[in-house]
Parts: sequence; structure tokens; C-alpha cells
Amino acid sequence: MALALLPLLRLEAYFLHVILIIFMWATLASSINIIAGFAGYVNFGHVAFFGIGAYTTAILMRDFRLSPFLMTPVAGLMAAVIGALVGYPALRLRGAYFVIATIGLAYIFETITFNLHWLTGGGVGISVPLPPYPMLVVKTLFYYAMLILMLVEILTIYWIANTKIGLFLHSIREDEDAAEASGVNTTKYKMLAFIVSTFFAGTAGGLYSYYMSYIDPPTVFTLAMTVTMLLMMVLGGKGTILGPIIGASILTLASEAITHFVVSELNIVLYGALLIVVILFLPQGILGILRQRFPRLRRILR
Amino acid sequence: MGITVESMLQAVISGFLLGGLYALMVFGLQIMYGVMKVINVAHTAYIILGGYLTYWIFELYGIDPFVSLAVTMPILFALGYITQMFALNPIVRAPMITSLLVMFGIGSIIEGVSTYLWTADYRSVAPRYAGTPLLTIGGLTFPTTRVAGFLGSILILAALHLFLVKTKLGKAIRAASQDIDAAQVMGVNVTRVYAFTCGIAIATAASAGAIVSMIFAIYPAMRGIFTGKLFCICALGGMGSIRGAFAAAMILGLAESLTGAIVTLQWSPIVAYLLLIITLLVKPSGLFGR
Amino acid sequence: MQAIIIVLVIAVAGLGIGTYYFATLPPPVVKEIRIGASLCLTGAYAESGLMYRQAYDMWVEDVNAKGGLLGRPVRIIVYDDKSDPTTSVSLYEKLITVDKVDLILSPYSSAIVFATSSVAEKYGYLFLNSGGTSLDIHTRGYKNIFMVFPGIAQVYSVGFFEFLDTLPSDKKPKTMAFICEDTLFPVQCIMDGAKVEAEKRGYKVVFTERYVKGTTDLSPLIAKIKASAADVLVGGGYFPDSVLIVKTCKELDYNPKAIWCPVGPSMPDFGGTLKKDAMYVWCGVHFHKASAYGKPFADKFNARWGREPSYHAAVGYAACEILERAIKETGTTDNKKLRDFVAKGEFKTVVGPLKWDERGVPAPAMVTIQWQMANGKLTDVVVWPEAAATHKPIYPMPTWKER
Repeated sequence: MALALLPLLRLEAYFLHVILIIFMWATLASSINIIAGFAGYVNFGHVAFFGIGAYTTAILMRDFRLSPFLMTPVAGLMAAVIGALVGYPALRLRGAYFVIATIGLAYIFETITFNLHWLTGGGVGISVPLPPYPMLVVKTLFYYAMLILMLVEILTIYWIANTKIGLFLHSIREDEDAAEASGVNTTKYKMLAFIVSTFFAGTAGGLYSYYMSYIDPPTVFTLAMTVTMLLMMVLGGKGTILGPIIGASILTLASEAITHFVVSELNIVLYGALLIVVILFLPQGILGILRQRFPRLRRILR
Repeated sequence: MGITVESMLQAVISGFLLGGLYALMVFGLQIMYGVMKVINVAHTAYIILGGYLTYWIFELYGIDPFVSLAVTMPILFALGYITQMFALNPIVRAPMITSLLVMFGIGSIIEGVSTYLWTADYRSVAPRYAGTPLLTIGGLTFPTTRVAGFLGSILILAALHLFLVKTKLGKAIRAASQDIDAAQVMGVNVTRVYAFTCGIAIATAASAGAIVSMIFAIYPAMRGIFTGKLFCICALGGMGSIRGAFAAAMILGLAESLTGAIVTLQWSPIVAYLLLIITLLVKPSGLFGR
Repeated sequence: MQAIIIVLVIAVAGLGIGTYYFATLPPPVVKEIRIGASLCLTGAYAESGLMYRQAYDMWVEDVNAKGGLLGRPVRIIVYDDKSDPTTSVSLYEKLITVDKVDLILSPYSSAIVFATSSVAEKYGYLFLNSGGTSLDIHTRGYKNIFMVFPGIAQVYSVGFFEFLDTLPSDKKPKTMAFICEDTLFPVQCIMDGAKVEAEKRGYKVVFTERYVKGTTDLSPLIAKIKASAADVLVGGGYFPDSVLIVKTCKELDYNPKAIWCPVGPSMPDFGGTLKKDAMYVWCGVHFHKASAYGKPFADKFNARWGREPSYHAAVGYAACEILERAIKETGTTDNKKLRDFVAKGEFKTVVGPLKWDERGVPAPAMVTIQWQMANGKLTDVVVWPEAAATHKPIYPMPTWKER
């Protein structure tokens, strides 16, 4: 509510930019949360679907001049379809094998994107035509677009968490064989989680390419992005609804602060150090800790 | 388009030599998974670091890369030991995602430090025998650095194999990998064994790095390229199986080289992933996996 | 322990919020003129990035020594984009919206210029493109970009082909191979430029392939080219790959009659890295240290930094010269007024006279160089066109074994 009114405060473009980026990461972190946090399948190639969405809108805009705002759900669908195709064989694997299989995913799509240069521009990338409105209007448009996307996703996750789907995913995460034995159709629910997660990742990607007005394969298919999403998820609290959003907010702000004050290679060192510190000392995430300390607030802190 | 018997044979030779190098690179990954069940996504970062150390020693003192292994391997052994003791041992019982993210963090730190120390410019080590063919039979060339790389890999792998089979520590490592609790009962100090294993794994990364710095040019962000390939090899060969890793490495080297020769260089990474996909669909545990 | 971590993390987040607060304050009332740019200080194109940096720095020193511009000191803020287009885009956004620079200078490489020029266009900033020669940069209908190079990517190799035209037909090469890095400039220079020139003249193209940026092993490619027995190898992208190409040719004992690479051989370090192996390699350049416009600049640069400038330093400096004159003559740092002034004008620069068509593209005036031993020193000399040449071209090149 407050968020929706923010742009009306005539703030600087940069401010809008950062908050909109927070929304994007919140969407991404939440999307990976569905498959990794709720279902326990850590998809290390998740960024591939972000990239697929990004390229979908970029190509549609370049060749057919179709407005990405309208095409974003199409990007999401594209990612979801490929997600289904990839997910079906991949989800049959467990543990380490699933991880290894998915690590390869981002690289596979990156290589395909490089090679199909008649479609994707290869290493040259795609320069998406600029929106024909003044800068502040554009930023505001994207702000609302990302905000809406994030809200839609939160509602979806809320729905999942509170219905039996959430319960089944939880059981799959805890002990898949037992769940299977109890009659849960694990394949169906795993696939559902996977497809929903890739849909949202793709949609976020679709908006991103238009916003940045330029993409190339290494940017949108980088493993580091998946790791960032996972970090945000863990920092906030995996398997929760609000967790990834908290994680995304903190981490994006921290990253902006670091870029402002430390402009050099130390950037990536700090990032790595942060990753290690969070993982080693805060595995339950902030929400997890808060829930422990304030049991009475559990109902709100989901 | 230039597909002759000669170019095919050259591709086979190159592929073979490359496969040996891949085997050396992947060895460390395999040990760490086999013994500690850790998927070390930072392994390639250590390899590049090893390459940089070799480069440094070569540029400062002019010492041949193979000779400087006597220094770089112990340094990286120590690094591996420390990594295990402080970063991985504390989370031994945690779920896999934990060690994955921790190692990714360490990889990022290594990359950042490398960029700071050596910048992102491409570096390569060029001893006098680099850039010249060792032998030329007919029109087929055997580049010296690659042959050296291949022989180096075989030597190190053989040495490690002997270590694991013949020495007491080696046997302790194998015991710990088979059954950690039984090993502990038998008096094996698992913490030390793990640290040692990690040390060995990273030491092999040093040797791989030295060879990589001679054959290719290195830069900090390069680890991404190798990570994908190495994991494909692991999947193809079966996680934790040394024999499988070796076979898979050779297969990948040959497949890449032949694809490069027949089709085009740009598609050769896809070969690795195709093999990965086929493996996962047909036999997920890999060629020699358990 | 956990409490400490949480406090730390929240503190960092607080820092982030604090940063916005400071970022959204108006800039301090300092009279300086702030100019921003991102350069490839690290990464694949770092070799050239440093040249630009030194050129920009040298210009700022000169200008400030003379009292600045419009009575105000000049300050250049340079960030490192690590040779990555997306990083560069966000850095320019930051320069314009957070650092609130008055003006911007160009980054390097067509790919990066292509991406960041959109940012400049969005915000209405004048963009003197001294970083990329691909025509594509200028065919999008943007109004604010002007190319500070006397020659687009597609014409780099024309000099070399004109030389080949002068050979008697039994000495001419018959077959050619073309390879390039898969990014904007190399593709336009080699595939849309050199290959097209070759086909126009009836040479047989026996091999064409692109390779991914960052590839450090080209032996499969060169092996195939060797098998195709191409007479001439044209290819590359930037500095590291040109070095790699020459090294690999030697390693595989492939002996074409000529090797032509863009960019790489124009840098003094090409000879420094390859030593004797650099001999006989060809390149097309916009600037040469021995030319009439270039010599004073080259001497000054050498005196300041202790090494010869490549054409990158020259065009970077030329862009600064243009900016300087525009600011002085319009009496303002307003981007729109500067842009209009530049569009109509003709400028004398260290790379020769420049003026632009409505796309921002100037008329071509490039020379071709070759690495040779001149006065006992290994260096690049101008061999074409004849009017500008100081040495005769050497063709064909001796085999590796013969040297």
C-alpha cells in the first residue's frame, strides 16, 4: 500500500531503480524458494529460466515490436514450458545428482544462446529498443510492473503454503520416500512446484531485459545469480513466505552500499564472505531466528 | 570444409591429450565427493589460483612450471587443509546446500583476491618449450605443452593411486569414505583424515592449474568455463569413482575435440552437456557410479 | 553470536539506506566540471582500456594546468566495467543519476558502446564515441552519438586488400580463412567487412568461424584452417586473441602467406609479448605515431607515460579535444547545446580532421601497418596507402621454420 504510493513522492530515479530491483530479486528469491525451500530440491540452474524469459521478450520486441509489458507473461510461459520439459527427467534425480544436473542447466542454455546467433544475436547480444517515454515515467512503469509481479507471486505462494500443496511439498522435502509411501503423488507436486518457480523466474527475466535495454548470454545465464537467489532465500528463511523478500531487501541494499563504498575487486570478496557468514551462522535465516525468539509472533512471521 | 583424415587424426590426438588434463582437474573433485560427500564448486577457482601461483613464480624467478610444482602443491595442500578444517568440518552434518553455498563463497573470494593480485588480464606461462611442437609425424603435431600436461596428469594420478592403496593414511582415507562411523570406531581420526583429503584434492588442483596456465591463458573469471565441464565429467563417470572420472574425462576430451574438428568449436561445450543429459536419462549414477 | 551477525547485517542494510539519502541530495556547490566514464580497466579488453585512461588523465592534467574550462577545474571519474557491457550500463546509470556528472566520455569496445549509448540517449547526454567503430551503433536513429574514429569497423581491412590488388595475379593469394570473436566489433570488422571485401575481389573463402569471447584455446580452429591450406588468415577481435592466434599458428606450424588481425597488432605490447613472432602481421589503424597529426601527440604521450600510444589513446584524446573546443566555444556544459555544436562542426584532432553525417559517422581515413624490423627495432610501420607509407610491405611472410 505504502509501496504503491512511493513513486508519487517524486523521488529520484535512482531510488526507484533500487527499490524496483529489490522487487525483482524478491520475485526471484521467492521463485527459487518454491522448489528449493518448500520442496527441498535445490535447483542450481534456476537462472537459466530467468535468462529464457529475458531473451523471449528481447526477441519479441526486436523482431515484432511487441510491448514487453504485455509479453512478460509470455516470457513466463516460455520459461515454464521449458521448465516442464527439463523438470520431468531432472526431478527423478535425488540429492547430489539433482544438483549436478542443474548446475549444467545454465551453462547449457548459455551455450545454446551463443550458438543460435541468427536468433539470439550470439555473443553480440540484443539491444532492446528504448521505451518512447521520458525517463521518470519509464522508471515508474517498471516500478509498478515489478511490484505487481512480486505481489502476484506472494499471493500464489501464500495459496500454496496454506493448501495441501504446501503440505505435500513439505513432506517431500522431509522424507520423499515416506511421502510416496503415504500415497502422495510426489511427481505431480514436484512438477507443479518446478513449473510455478520457473514461470515466475521467466517473468522477472522478461521485464529485466526491457528495463536494461541490453542483454547478452553471460549476463543472464550466470551461476552467480542463482547463488544470490539462494543466499537471499536462506538469509531470510527458506520455506517461508516472507523470508525471501526480507533476504532480497537486505542483500540488495547491502550490495548497493558495498558498490558505493568499495569500488574494486573487493566487491566480490565481500560477497563471498557474506555468503559464507550467512550460511555458517544463520542457516535458519532471519525469520527462523525471529520465530524462535518470539514464538507468539509465529502466525505473522510466515 | 577441411575434414581430412589428417585433421581427424590431429583431433584425436588433441582430444586424447586434453582428456588427460581434464582427468587431472576432476580428480580433486572426485576425492572430495567420494570421501566427504562435498560437491566442491570452488575447485576450479583453486585450479586457476594454482595457475596464478605458477605464473608468479615463473615471472619472478624464472622457474619452470613443472619444477615449481614442488612449491605450489604444498601451498595449495595447506590451503585445502585449512579450508576443510575451518569451513567444511563445522558443517559436516549439514544438508548439501550448505556446503555448496559455502564453497561457492570461497570460490568468489579466491576469484576476487586473484583479480586484485593479478588483475583480470590474461596471463600465460611460456617456458621455452611452449609454443613448439614436440614431435611432428607427417603433418600431425604433438604440442609440447599438451604432451607434458598429459604425462604430468598420468604421473600424478598414478602417484595418488599408489598413495591411496599402499600407505596407511591412504587406507584411512578410503576407510573413512566407505563408512565414517566404522572408521572412527577403528581409531581413525576422521577430522584429520578429512582435512588431509581436502589438502590432497586442492594440491592436485595446483598441478592442474600449472598445466592450464601453460596451455591456455588464464584469467580469474575463467573458472566458470571449467566448472560446467568438470561437473559433466563427474556425472558421466559417476560421482566418487576415480576410474569413472578418468574414463569420462577422456571421452569428453575426445568428443570436444572431434566436434570442434567436424562441426565447429562453438558447439563443443554442448557435447559435454549432451553427454550429461544422456547419462542422466539412461544411467543417472554414471558409467562407474555406485 | 547469531545476534551479532543479525546486527551486522542490519547495519549494512542501514548503510544502504543511508547511501540513498546521500545519493538523493543535490550535488555540492563545487564549481568543478565533472566528466564520467567507465573503462575496461580489467578483463579481456584491459590492454586498450588502460590506453584510454592514460589519454583521459593526460588531457585533464593539461586542461587544469591551463586553468580548467570556463574557469572551472575539470575532474574525470572513471569506473572499471571489467570489459562487460552490462556492468558498464549500470555504471553509466550511476554516473548520471547518482554522481550527477555534467558530461560523459566513451567506454571501450563496440559491444559496450552499443549498450551504453542507449543510456546516454535516454538521458540526453552527448556521447562522443571513441570506443567502438561498428556501424550498428549509429543506425538506431540516436541523435547524440558521434564516432571519433576516421573509419568504421567494416573498412579496417580495405587497405590490406588494396595492397593485394597491386600484386601480379600469379603472386596473389587464392584462398582465405576468416575467424573472429563473437562480439559486435569483430563480427562487423571481419565478417561484414573483410570477408565481404574478399568476396568482392573473387578470393575463395575456405573457412569461416566465430569463437566465444574468452576462449583461450584456438587450436582446433587453426588446425582446421591449416588443413584447408588457406593462403591468408584474417581474424581476431582484440588484443588477447590476436596474440593467441599468432602463437597457435606457430605451435601448429601453420604458415599462411599473411596474417591480418584487427586491434591487437596496433598495440605496442603486441611486439612486447610476441617478440620476433609478431613480425609480418598486418593491421588496420586510425592513427600512427609517425604520422603528421600523430607525432606530436605520440611524443607527448611517451614523455608523460613512458610508452608509445596506440590508436585507442589517440581517439580517446581526440574526443577530449572535441569536448574541450565545444565547451570553450559554446561557453556552456549543457549537453544539448554541445551536441548541436558538434553536429555542425569540423574538428582538427590528433587522428586528423573529423566531421559527421546525420548518423554520426565520419569519412574514412585509415592506414595499414605491418610489424617489421625498422632501424634494428621491432615495431609497426605504415605500409599502405603509398602516400603515407614509410616502408614497403613484406609479402608473403616467411615460414616459422625459416625465421
